Amino acid sequence: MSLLPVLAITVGGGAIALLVRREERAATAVAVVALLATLAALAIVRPGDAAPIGGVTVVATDYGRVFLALGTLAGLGVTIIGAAAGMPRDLPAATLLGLGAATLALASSDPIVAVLAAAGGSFVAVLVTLAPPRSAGTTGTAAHHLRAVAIATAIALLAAAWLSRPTGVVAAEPEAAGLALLALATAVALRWAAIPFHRWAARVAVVVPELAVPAVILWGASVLALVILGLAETSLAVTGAPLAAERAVIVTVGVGALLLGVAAAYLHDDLGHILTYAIVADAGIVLLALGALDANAWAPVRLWLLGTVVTRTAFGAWAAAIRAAFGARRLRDLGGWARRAPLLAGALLAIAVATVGWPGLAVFDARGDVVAAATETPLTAIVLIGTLGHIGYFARIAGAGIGRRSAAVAGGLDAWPRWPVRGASIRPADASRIWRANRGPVASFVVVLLAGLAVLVAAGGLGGPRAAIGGLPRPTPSATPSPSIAPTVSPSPPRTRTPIPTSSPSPTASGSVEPSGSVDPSGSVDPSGSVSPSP
Amino acid sequence: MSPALAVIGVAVLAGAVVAVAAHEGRPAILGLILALIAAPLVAAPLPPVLPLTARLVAAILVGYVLWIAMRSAPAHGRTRGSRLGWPVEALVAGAAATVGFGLGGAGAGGNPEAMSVGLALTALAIPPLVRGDALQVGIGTALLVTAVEVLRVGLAGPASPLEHLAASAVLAAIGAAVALLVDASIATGGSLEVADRRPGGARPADEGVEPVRPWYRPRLRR
Repeated sequence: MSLLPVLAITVGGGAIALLVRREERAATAVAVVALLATLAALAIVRPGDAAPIGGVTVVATDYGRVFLALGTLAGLGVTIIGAAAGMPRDLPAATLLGLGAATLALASSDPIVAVLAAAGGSFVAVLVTLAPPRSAGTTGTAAHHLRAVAIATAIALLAAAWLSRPTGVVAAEPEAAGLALLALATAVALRWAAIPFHRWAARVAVVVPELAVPAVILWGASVLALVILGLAETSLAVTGAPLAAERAVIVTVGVGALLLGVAAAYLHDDLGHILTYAIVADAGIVLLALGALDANAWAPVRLWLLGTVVTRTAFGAWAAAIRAAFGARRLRDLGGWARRAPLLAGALLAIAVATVGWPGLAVFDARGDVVAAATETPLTAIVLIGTLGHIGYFARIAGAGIGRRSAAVAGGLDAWPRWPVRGASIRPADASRIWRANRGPVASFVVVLLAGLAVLVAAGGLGGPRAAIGGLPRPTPSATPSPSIAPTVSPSPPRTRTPIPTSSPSPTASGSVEPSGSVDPSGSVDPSGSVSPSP
Repeated sequence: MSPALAVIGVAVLAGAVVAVAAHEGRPAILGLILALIAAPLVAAPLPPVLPLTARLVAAILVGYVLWIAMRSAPAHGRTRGSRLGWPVEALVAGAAATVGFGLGGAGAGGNPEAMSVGLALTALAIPPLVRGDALQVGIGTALLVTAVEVLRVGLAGPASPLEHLAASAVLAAIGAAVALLVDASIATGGSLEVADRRPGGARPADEGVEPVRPWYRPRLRR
């Protein structure tokens, strides 16, 4: 089964949710049903199944399936927590349409279509930024958001078009290849709000509720990053051009984004800002992978992205549940929250474990591999220690949790289910009353589930490492090469690199795309768009 | 140079000049629609009918939702168009088009007419994108994405039908976002101005947020 049913369900469900956007319950119900249907459709998708649509082959990959399944589960959790704790209008529609865009972006063998699809998901997220209640700053924030997405899209499209030219002789033009690499990195940095392009995201943290922050900043950015990483892997890394200066610039920005993002998250007192700067710091890892331009970085960064998307979504859901329970989002107003909400305390611990990890944990090792591929020895240690800085803000939040109980926490909701609910019995007519009385515990329970999912992915569960090695479909040029103009300079042979350590075999023959590490010695891409068996 | 492509290119740029230079909302939207409808035609060979129809529908949809959003705009939908006027914008577009044509389709399958129109559209799209006006930001966004799509034809040859469909979906998403932005600006500020800073200098987005806690506070000796 190809990915077409997934595409149809997500886009159709998103359109319906958008049409009924004024009826919050209806939109939520549509989203829940569509997300469940998406999960069912993903369960019957077989990696390797391909469908030609409009001249482009859309290929289901193991990685795309895992990414979409995790996105769907995260979206389902966010929707349920939103129904319990309140969510911005259009979040259900944006979630579904974003998933639809991710489906096309991760399955398209044409990089330009993939970039366009990722951009579509990002533009839809602007609807969430503009959701009521609107304050004076909402329009300014949304305008910044729109500009950032538009410019990132334009840069990424130009670079993708340049790299997809029919001649395909990027190796013969090292300067152009360097510019293309810089353009790709700039697009990722802008869209992911890496420091110094983080201004719009800092504003989003104020306007958008914590629950929706990952949907607005992270989800679309991670899809675009995956597409761009795939493009860099298949079009730039194979050329063998050293691109030392360009890579040094990208690595410098990546290290800066990582360290400064972690520091900013530690210094802020507002949960929305802490979450946002944690996401900003994550951009550093993607930039490091792009700057490494090394076969040893591709699979680890894809694995790390799987964990990050789920972990940050769980963190946003946790912050939303805390706000719903205690009506506060500043740490100084949240004294003693952990004693009042032990479920959420356990969830925060799980989220911290999934974020930071320890040696041997899949996501920890993947992050270390990316850093090691991008940096030399003394800097590697500094950056690796910097990545542990995430412990700092989690410790601050935990410290507030065991501190003196604040007024907001003392007057907050109970974390435990209420049963029996006064005046209600087990009848369908009383369901809404029971739901209203237990919204806090339901939100906490779903947060715990999301945190558990984050730990599972961080530990390498759900086939993440194997899927990350398989990667995404190899890009093929969308235009037919002109027979009259043939490349006159043969590309340089690929750089010899240490192969990706594979503890488990790649997906089997018919069900896989060509693995990331393998390179066609001729430097050309397969124009047929067909998938080939993994070794 | 193909005369047909040249005529279509002039139509695209004329629409874009009107869109960025007009000081009233409706002419600006009409100009934008013209540019969006004609832009996919700057290709040789022409795209198939179905993708072309999708682009046409997307262009009309963008214009329609913006038109609806602008109905409640005060002062006849006055927008912050170009201060330099349309002749200057047209000259800028002409200069950029000349440079683009000179590049001559940087790729083997590209075409110089598309490079010319794409570069001119890019030059026209950037100024409105940075203006503090909701409609102008939207026009800039739509023109920029369209410009890059045309440039892409100039670089890498004709787009696939799926790419046209994806571009149509992106334009529809931009239209929805910009219509909401216009609506929000009118609802919160009574005009198309996007609130960036308050008159007193404080940023509205910083409302209710704890300032950064200083982690190092030097002790001053008295």
